[in-house]
Amino acid sequence: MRALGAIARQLLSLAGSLLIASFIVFALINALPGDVAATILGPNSDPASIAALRERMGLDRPLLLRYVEWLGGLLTGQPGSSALSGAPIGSIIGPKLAVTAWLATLSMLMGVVLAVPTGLYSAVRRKRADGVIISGLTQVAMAVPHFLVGLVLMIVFAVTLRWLPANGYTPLTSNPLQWLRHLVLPVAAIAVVEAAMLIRYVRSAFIDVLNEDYFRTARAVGWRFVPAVIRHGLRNASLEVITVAGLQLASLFVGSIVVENVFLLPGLGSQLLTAVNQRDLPVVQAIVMIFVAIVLVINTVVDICYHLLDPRVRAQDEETSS
Amino acid sequence: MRRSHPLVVGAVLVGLICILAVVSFFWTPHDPGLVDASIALQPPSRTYPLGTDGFGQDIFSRILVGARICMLVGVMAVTIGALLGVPIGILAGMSRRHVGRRIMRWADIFYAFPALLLAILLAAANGTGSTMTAMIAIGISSIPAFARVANTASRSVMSRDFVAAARSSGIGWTAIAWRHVLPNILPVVLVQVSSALGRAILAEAALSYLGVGTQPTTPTWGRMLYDAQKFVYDHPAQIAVPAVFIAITVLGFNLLGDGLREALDPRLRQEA
Repeated sequence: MRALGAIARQLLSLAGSLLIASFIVFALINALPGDVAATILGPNSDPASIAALRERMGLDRPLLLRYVEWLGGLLTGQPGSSALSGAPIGSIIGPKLAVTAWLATLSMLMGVVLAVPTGLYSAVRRKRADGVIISGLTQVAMAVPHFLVGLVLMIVFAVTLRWLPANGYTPLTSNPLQWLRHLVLPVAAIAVVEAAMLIRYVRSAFIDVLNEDYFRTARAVGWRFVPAVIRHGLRNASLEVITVAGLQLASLFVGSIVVENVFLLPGLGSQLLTAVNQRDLPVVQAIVMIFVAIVLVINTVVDICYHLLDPRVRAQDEETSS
Repeated sequence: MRRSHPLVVGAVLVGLICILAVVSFFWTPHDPGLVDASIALQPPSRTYPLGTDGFGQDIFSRILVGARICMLVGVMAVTIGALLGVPIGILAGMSRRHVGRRIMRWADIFYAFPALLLAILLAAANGTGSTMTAMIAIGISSIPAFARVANTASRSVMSRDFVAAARSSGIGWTAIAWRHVLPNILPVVLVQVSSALGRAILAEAALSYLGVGTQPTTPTWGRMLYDAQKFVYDHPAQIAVPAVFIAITVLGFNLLGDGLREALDPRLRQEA
């Protein structure tokens, strides 16, 4: 029951954060000095067409009223229409969202699959040469932006070896094999960097576990190393891994903006950049809000998981709520 | 002795990039903006130590000027983040527990605006991006990390005896914050500064690459990568130079941060 109360509180605070964040997004686009219509039409536009666009977008009405309308539109799935084509924004970004969601989730999945065994291995072998080498490599991988890893992978696997396409996208439904071939490099580009960060956390979490009394006791009473790690280590290390991986998933959605532009994937990030370059502010506003919402929702889910998994936090909740 | 390695390597790498940035103000081998199609894509030579790019511009000169932008954006952004984030964290850390938690919740809202997203938003609202919008965006997005670090550290300082002594002798809150809390949390903040610099420089590179930060007319490492990408088929080596410099700089700051953390935390010294 108390756990449910804690979850309800988290969800409530998520709703509050979303509201505040939506206001910030709206205010940054609409209330910064500089007229929205003038920005959309660019520096060489004549006053008459600026006035016409202001009229069409309803920009002369009070700011707060427009915010409430926009918010209502977001909640009902109609976040306005493009300032350029007049097409509803929902129909523009719907198909793009799928591309970005695939890219981000597959990257994180691959990141975790790479990081947990590697982190465990480097924790166990931390005093041997290979453990030290893994640590060094993660340091280097963390110092490289996603798009740079993407470029290097592109040069090796697409340009030199010609194993995979250098850019473009095929939807999953039209050709699953081509879909996979197009996603391998972008996914790997993100996964390598994110895994590097995660490996360091997994490594230090496992080093802590290996030094714990309960682990030594388990070994002393006859548990073999691998079962002991699985039974006692994974559960304790999983807390930290889930927290870090969750926060990474959020940052990775945003990182995908850059990687999509490297591999010309028609995702939300590419669309966002296109909209910025075309000065299509309503589209920019909607896509930024989607990203912000994704980040906030993921953070809340991570918080909830953390509460459910960690008996210590659970106990603390019960203390504070009673 | 072994423990100081990351600190020394990090300091050397960062120092190297700082020297490049300073040198660029006084001297570059060629005009970094001089376009000459007849000498495009040359391999390294005596006149062009790192070769020329697709426009015939000297890559080494552009790297020098790029170091300047990269350091400028990194340092300014982290200054913004620290100047706003640390006071928030101290305030939260000195408040009662539930008040502090509420303050931190507000600071956490900024987590929803990663540097890249905020920079794109500012660039869109402004018409185009600039070095300034990049700095502000990266700076604001680093606020919550600074606030969090300062919050945890000040809370532990507040539980120490000397603070209790100061409070019982009637010293005001601001004086306690200034004289006791800030000096004691400075080391942790310093570690955070170093790793925030690494992250800021990664973000700056991404923004310049996308063309939503510093405008393409100014040489930046990120934009050099963008320009080099056009030649991946015929001259893939073009991406190598800017790539290496970005990696060196970020690696330098990360190592510096790790080294500082180890030097300050005696518990870590025994481990590994």
